[in-house]
Amino acid sequence: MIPRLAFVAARLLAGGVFLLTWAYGVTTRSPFAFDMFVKPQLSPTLVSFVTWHPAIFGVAYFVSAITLTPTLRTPAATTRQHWARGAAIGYVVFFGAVTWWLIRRPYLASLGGGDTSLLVVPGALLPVAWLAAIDHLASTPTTNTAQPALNQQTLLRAASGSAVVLWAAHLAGAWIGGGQITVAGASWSLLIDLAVAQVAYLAIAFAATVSPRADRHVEYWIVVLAVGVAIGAFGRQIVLPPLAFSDADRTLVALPFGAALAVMWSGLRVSGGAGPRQGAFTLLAAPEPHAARRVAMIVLTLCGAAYLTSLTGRLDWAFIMRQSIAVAEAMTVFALILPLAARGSRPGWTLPRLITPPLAVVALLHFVPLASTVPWLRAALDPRAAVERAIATDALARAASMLVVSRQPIDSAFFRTMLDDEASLWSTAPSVPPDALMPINTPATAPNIFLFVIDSLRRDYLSPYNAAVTFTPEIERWARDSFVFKNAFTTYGGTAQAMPSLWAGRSVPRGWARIMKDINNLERLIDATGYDFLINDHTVRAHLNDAVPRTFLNPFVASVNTDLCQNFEAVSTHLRTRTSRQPVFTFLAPMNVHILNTMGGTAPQDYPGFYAPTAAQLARVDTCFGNFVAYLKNQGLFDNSIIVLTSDHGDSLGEGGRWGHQLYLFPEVVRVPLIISVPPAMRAQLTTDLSRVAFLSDITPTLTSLVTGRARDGDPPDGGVLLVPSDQQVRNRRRRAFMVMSSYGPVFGVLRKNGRDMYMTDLRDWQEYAFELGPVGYREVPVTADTRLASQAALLRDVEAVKGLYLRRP
Amino acid sequence: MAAALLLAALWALLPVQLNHATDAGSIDGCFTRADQAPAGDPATEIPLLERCVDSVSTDADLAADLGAAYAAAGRDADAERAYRRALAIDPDFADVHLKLAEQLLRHGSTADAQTHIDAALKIQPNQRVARQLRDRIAATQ
Repeated sequence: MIPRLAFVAARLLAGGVFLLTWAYGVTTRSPFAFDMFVKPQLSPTLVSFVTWHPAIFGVAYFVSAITLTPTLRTPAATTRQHWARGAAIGYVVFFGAVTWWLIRRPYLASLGGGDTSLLVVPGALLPVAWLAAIDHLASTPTTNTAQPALNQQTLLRAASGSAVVLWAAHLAGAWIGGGQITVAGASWSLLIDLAVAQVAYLAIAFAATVSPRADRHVEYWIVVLAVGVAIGAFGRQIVLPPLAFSDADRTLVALPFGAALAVMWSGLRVSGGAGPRQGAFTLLAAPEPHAARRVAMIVLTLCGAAYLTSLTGRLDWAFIMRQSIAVAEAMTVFALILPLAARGSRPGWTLPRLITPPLAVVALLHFVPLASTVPWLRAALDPRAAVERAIATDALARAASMLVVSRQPIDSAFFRTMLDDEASLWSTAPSVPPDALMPINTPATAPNIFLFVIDSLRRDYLSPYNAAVTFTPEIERWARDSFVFKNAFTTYGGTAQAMPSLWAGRSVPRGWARIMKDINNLERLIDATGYDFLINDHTVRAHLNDAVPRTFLNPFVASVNTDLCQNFEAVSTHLRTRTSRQPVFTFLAPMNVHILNTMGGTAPQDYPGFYAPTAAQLARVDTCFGNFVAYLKNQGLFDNSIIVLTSDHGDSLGEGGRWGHQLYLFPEVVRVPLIISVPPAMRAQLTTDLSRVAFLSDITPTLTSLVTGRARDGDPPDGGVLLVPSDQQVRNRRRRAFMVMSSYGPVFGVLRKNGRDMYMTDLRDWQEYAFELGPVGYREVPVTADTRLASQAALLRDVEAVKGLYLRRP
Repeated sequence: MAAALLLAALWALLPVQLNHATDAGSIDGCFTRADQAPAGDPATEIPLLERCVDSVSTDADLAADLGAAYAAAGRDADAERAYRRALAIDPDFADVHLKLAEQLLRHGSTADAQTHIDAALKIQPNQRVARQLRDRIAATQ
């Protein structure tokens, strides 16, 4: 006999490995996740998991097989036990063979993304479901009348009590963490938590009331199904969209996962002596008989969830982890409270009592938005502002609002079209446009080019853009004789698409990695001009043409640790020691101010009005920048060099409780610095419009034009030339609207009025925003019908333009 | 079964409209107008542009269009006022700086015109029209 604790631990270990295998399969199934995370081997942990997977899977198989020993050794007395024994033998033989096969041919390491992962996604869930089936077959179908039945009062108390406990815990956590809490935000958050509780209450009530009174196993299985669907729906709506799965894929992936988790839990409960005939209560209630210990476990769960949430810190993808933790926390708290709520409750169900609480919550949910249309109540009750404030304090409310509450009935046709377009941008393999590469004139001589793209650098953290900045004096000094573009933007919030759009010199599709070698205009310029090519970048590195020689600087430094100062030293060393006299092209994309390097960081001094860790990093980068410019001047290189300083995107550094940039598209994310210095002799011959809307995709045409005398000059999706001979004029973009979008999800924006107005729509939760952009900051303004119509038309037009370029069919 | 019915009813009722935008209402095409280059006879556009500039007070292009329409109609004082309004909204609007400078030069306000030419040259360094205007001032002095 295996001790119960060891049995549960073994099963959880094995289940965890199988589910991780499934998760890896899902990650590689998404072309986006495969290209962005798996292929570049961004996570050493992930690489180790894949390398060791056959051994890890073998251990999981071994411990799970041991848990089947009682079933295998007990003589089968009944038909069910006979089946259980047969299923256990089948498990041992079949998964033993799978383990052997995996050891001979490590399957995860061979996955190349896309359809090749289809086998893993359902396959990894098979052992979980198989073990659960054995547990159910091996159990004795007894009815334990001592176990309380589900009844209305118990359920209502448990559901509502859990909601209130969770809400209070989340608010307390936010208060301790110094978060902004308002009465409106807290009230709205409570309402949403209660609404979630009412949905759970009604779903379980439905199971209990449709089941025959005498046979509670119908109720049990309906609740198993409901739990599976709920977990699946959460995965489908919250976790998978940012990984760019199509609607069908999301359903195919998430629902089996939810079902597998539900039957795994059911199997564990059944193997512990509970059974379907005892009803759903045994499934839902946590197996801990002592009330005091239950209360302690609730407190532990809340503290544990708060701790885990704090570990997610300011990671870009933290919202997914936070919401997953919140859902797991909610289910655990409910399971612990349920038996407490059963004490002294009245049995039975009555219709008025059944419907009153949910209807009251729905009435309140509708009252708040309605009341907020009253002018003097608007500020206090603005539902969107309240939900946004609730987001920071209550991940459960945020998840729920994304699932149900914030569905936006206005313009649903637009939202659906955009979501379809988004799915097609992801799911269709891009083709190479016929005019992908610009014709290049090979110049007799060329200036050196130094292109610095500092990841996540915000324009308002540089003194040429913000007079309040005191920590970038060297950049300011250099910028005085440079072209400082005041209205520069990235088309893509997120490195993944921003960087390739810079190299290609035009907008790029989601699957750019598959065609990058054929659309890379910057590399073509480097090749045609015969530049001595130095690079430190981890986004396009794997997609450059091998035929173009290059020197990769600081090759042993991980992507996240790339440092501009270290890069400058490597460039200086290269220039000092090289034998070639070719002009040099240097591309550096350091991560000094990326949120991964500044979150939770410290600074030696205060920088009032700025996020100190970022400001401190920039102060150091500024010194190195000044030293490098001085070095170029000392070496006589500066007067024959073009220097470009920009960033792939900005960052949210606490604005509205937001941190990072991956799935945000607020103005602080899409505005970037863009400063270009050219040789003095060249400068006198050039003109530009420093207030014109400029994009990263304009850099390559501009450099091409400066070096070769001509380049493609267009408007997005094409890049344009920013610096033209002084007897010409740059293209006027004042009256154009321009699409911007997240690199990682369905979040789109539109820039209008020469970049002074911005509309943003987040299709994940159908929210929309409008902003007025000032020289330094911005302010949110109401979304008017005119803004919405003009912006949505521009979005549809620009998405079609990108699709027209890359998604053509032969 | 009651619970099932209630669940269905709730599913229909739950969607709560959170985006209660303060809707200024459509302004008779002024938004579209602002996104397009001026077309047609400037004189006939003046009433429309005047209404649009009042309605969409933050649009520098509309104000600039109105200034150009006034200038074409010979209403120089109104043109100057409209150009100044455009620059108050967008001080980096180089074309308007130059158009205003031309207006000012026509009325002999050389110093003021020089200020706007300098402003235009800061935004569009070495720009040909700005240089010509600057040279014109230099020639008269």
